[in-house]
Amino acid sequence: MKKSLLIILTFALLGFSSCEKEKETITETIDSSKPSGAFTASKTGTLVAQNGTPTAGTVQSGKDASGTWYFKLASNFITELATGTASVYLSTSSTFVASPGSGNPDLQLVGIVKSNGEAFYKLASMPASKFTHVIIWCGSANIPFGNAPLQ
Amino acid sequence: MKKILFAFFLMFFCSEVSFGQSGWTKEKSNLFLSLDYQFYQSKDFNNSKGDNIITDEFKQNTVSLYGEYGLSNRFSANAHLPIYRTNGYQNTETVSGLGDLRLELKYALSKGKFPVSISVAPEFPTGAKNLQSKSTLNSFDQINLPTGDGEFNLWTTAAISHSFYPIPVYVSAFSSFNYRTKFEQRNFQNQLLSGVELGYKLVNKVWVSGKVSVLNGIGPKPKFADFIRGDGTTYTGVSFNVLYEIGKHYGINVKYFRPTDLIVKSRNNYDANIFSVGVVYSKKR
Repeated sequence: MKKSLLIILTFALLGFSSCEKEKETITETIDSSKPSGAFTASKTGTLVAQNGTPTAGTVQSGKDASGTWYFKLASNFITELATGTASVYLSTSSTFVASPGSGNPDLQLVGIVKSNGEAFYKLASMPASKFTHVIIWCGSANIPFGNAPLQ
Repeated sequence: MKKILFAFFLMFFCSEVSFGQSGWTKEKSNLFLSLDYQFYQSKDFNNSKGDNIITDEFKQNTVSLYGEYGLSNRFSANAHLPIYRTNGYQNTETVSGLGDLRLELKYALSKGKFPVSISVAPEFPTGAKNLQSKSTLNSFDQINLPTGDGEFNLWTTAAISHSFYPIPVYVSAFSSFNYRTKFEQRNFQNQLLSGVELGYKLVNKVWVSGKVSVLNGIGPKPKFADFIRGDGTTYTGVSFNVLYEIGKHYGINVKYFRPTDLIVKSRNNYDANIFSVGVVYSKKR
């Protein structure tokens, strides 16, 4: 019996040794048109990864040559998109504080990220000064992928 | 006679409920089938670093068919197919589809006191490769929750077993290498799955077994985590199985599985109690 167990356990060790609310649908229209002329940044931030994602890169808000406001993800932008999309939000803090009942005063949706790299999102106007951060958000799992303070 | 019955049990039930990870193979023309329902739900996600984070609740249901047939006294043909799987988060749509078909050819290297088997099992991407689960809260969030991993991969397994008859105890050990390929532009990390299983006849017609298995990644770690396709997933799995024999041919099988950090850290998967219940059928020539 002991010999039998020893043989079985030896075999196993060979394998182990190589291991070590109430729902309300919100509809948003995203304008992803490109800036005309040169884009001039007024605020810039560097993303800090959260929850083990590879999120990194530069984010900026600014105007194009015609004075239209845009939000930019730089060419070095990267996040976790293996399982779907992520959303970009302007936020009053580094924490995603949703309050759909009162119109989400601490958040402003910027756009949807479907691929890594450079992307522009047209804004209706200059972002309000209360929005001090950018958050990359995975709405399906309800977790942040990263955030950046805007300065 | 008892010894023969015990041997039949080992060949008909024990190996199959563990996906053929034993040294026994089917005798010629012998058949084993199982229909299994598996369920889990969890908010506790272990990310690619092994850190636990809380997400919205993820749920998965799977109905699977498994079969094993003795082609000869040394060769067995096995097949496993998740015939219906659903995936979804608490605030996304539930998506569903077929899973990936796994076929296995198993060969008995030796059939003595320590039966040893080797097997090759290609897994085909028969499942839905992309299934977008849309948010029920807004019009823009969605997550890809496919029911198949989208790749062709190949499992090769070596296993050894031993019966301690007349003590109604058996033990098996196995090691499997999963050669993974790619889906779209992503190369999947290869995997090594190893484990030990101990089974015991508790009372008449009731068998219990426990297994510890280790799944680890081999080669470069994936840059992006994709838990639903199992890329970069590691764990130490602990499982318990209870089989109740009904007559000569049928049985009810109940299984519990949980990924843990015991030997290898649980990464890129949900920390969940995974339950399954199934009906098994066996027929000898």
